[in-house]
Amino acid sequence: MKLKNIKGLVGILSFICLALSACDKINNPIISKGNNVGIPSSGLTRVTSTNDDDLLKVLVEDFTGHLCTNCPAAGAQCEALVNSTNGNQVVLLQNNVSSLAKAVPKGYYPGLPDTAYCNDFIALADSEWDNVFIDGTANGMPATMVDRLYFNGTPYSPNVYSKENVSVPFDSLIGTSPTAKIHIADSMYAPPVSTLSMSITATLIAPVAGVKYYLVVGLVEDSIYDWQDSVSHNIQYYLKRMTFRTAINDGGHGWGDTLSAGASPQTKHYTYANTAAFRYNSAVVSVPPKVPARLWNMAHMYVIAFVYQVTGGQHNYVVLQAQKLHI
Amino acid sequence: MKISVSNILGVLAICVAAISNVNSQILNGPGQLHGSVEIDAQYYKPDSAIGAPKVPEKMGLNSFAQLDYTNGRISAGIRYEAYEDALQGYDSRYNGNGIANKYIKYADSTMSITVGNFYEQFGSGMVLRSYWNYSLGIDNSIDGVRLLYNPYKGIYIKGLIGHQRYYWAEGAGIVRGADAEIHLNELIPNWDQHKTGIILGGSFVSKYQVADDPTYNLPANVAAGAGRLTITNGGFSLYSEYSYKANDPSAINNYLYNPGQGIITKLSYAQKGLSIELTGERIDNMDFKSDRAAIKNDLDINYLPALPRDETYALMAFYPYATQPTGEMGFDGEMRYTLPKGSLLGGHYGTDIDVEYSAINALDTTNLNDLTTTRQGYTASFLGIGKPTYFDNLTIEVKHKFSPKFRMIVQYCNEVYNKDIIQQETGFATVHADIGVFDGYYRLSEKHTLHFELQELYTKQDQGSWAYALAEYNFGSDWFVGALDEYNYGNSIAAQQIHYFTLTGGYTHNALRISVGYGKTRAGILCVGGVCRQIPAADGFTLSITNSF
Repeated sequence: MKLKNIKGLVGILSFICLALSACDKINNPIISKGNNVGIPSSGLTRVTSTNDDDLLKVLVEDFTGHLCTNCPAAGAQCEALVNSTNGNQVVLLQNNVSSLAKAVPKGYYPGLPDTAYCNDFIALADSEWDNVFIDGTANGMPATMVDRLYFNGTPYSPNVYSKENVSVPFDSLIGTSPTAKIHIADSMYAPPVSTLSMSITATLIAPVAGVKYYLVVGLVEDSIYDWQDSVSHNIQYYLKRMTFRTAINDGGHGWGDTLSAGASPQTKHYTYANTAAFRYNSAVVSVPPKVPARLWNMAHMYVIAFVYQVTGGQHNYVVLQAQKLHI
Repeated sequence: MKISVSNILGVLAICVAAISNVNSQILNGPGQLHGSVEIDAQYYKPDSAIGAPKVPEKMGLNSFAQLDYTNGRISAGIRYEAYEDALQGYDSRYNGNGIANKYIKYADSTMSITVGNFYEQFGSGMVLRSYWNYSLGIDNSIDGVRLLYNPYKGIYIKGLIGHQRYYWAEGAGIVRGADAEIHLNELIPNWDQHKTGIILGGSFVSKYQVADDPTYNLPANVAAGAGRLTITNGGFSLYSEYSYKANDPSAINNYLYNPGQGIITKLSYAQKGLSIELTGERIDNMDFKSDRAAIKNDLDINYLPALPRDETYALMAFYPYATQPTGEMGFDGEMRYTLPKGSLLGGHYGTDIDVEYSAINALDTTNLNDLTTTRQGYTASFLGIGKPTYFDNLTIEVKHKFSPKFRMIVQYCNEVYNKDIIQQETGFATVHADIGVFDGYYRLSEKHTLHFELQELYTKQDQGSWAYALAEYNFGSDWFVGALDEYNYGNSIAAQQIHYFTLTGGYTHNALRISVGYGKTRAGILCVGGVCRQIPAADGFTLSITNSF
């Protein structure tokens, strides 16, 4: 097959040029947050709420630890899912668990700064989920779960997907209809009171008799820079996405509040305050961070909530719906 | 995506049969089948003294088999890989097995079309280079379509589009590229008689990835372009390439929006017995990946050549240089000279002398403190040389043949190595080292050769000084046995003054090579062309088998 004349060559070149002319020049890198840009000057509350409650959102949990050398790779896989075409249907949690997430004493690693790996991101709920689902200390990490679906029935990790398979169960879920809805409305008082209050409305769609349903509500902080061990080196400023900080209900435990097995909307109100840890800095995340990793930057916080069922057997703990809202 | 071998071969067979029935000029007889195979296995013993971890599966195996079929204008091939599990130091995302590479190509005198996986390079690779390096565990092949077109003598055009291989999946981004090269001496009538040769080239590459971030306005399409010039005249040769990349915020550059630039210029002269090569390079924010969240060597679209040469001697390669895509300014000069045979210093057989000097520094930058606004990050003086020094190396090598039975290579190197920057460690600062190598070959008889090496690395930093000794005996033209020892005698911690002793043996015949080994390997880094992989400490048996046909 040959082009007979120069016109064919011009045609091919034109096609190539058109196809490759794509280049986006960005003049305003930072997305304007509108009312969320800075601390409310009047000191009054600022209220926001979710508006996509009918969309099925999948809970993707990345069990990780700052001493886990292969965990950045799993984090990258989850990040890819968040950045994918259906990323708006992902509620990502990074749960710090096991001995690989434990904080070490100051100066523990010779050759590194004294403060390397001294921060502890393990929440009470993280440890409880680890005991039931992962057992990271015994089985190693990383480990990921998608809606806590039952995977292969191995004795210690019945709900665990290997990190490279995260997209497989996710893709199978996103086209399905949700069996629950979650609406979040939150408000935050400006410092120094710094009390967070929120309303969570959960609606079960066609609940099944005999099945128990629970609502878990928590706080997640995005974009924390802190130490991470990677395959080839220690990273001083590793970007941690969507780190689970604490459960808000159930006294900080990971099993949530009971929902009635009915189809009517059920609204629960919660408040949470942690004056010692709360900070607020809405500047874009940078290195070194404006707010140290051990403190909670409320400007990057999300309220997350998910509904799960307890049935016994293979569908135990399966998450039916998840939701998140930036504070 | 994993595809069964039988499916692939079935498709290939159908295609070949269909084409052969359509046009007998495309195929030519039964065709030819070529291939290669390699198996590397290691049994791991935990050894806390050297930091060799306990490996749960106790054994790792990397392997591949490549088959290429050619018949007239049609060629096709597949590569099957198995990592059961991947050897320590290789990314565990390779674990598993499947068809890693498959392609079908049609090529005639003016055009070539490839569908499937292919490798390609534009110019020096600064805007596009996809390649496979088995020892590094790198395979960023493009799975898509490539067109090569030679519409007229002296004009060569390439176009491609596809996704990159990402372990057993594909990267998130789509890569598109085009390249054109004009050989003036072929294009212009009567220029083929000119002593001066001129080649002009230009490339354009862009990637697309969904941009959906709550904090940043990310560019979904990012483009890079390059222009290059090659001039040759007699023994002189000049190659220069400039590349530019538009805003490409990514995990590597901390999501900065400044453009990237790269320039490399190489001037060389060669005549019998003498060659001189001078290279200057400036890299500024030229990491280019098809997934902005990718890290390390994952999903590289381009390749930034390293100035220093790759070393083969163990202690010479102890502190290898890794190209810094975020920014570097470097120079390399090398001169090779052969002292003539029969001269006083050249001796009866002549003597080869090679002197090379490399110096690489940071860019001279000024911080803009604009991370909350335009996020350009910094400005960099184009010709400025900043601090710190990344790498500084003077190497002198002398090769001399004393007699038909004995030849020798002697090397000396003085090196300054910023380990914090190059290996992204902290707390190691800069290593100053002097390295010496004595490498000798003695032919005992027609089929028996003795090879020995003595090496010394002297430094007061890092792990301290090392000594290395190797003895290898080749006999029967096909067999070899050897022993080597690396000794960290200069380590400030007595318990870490360890001997890394290894025994090796093997058989080679034509393309077949089988080698086995047993012993300890120290932790280190393997670099090829500025791209590196960590090698963990290990203790145990190794087996390697390679063959091609």
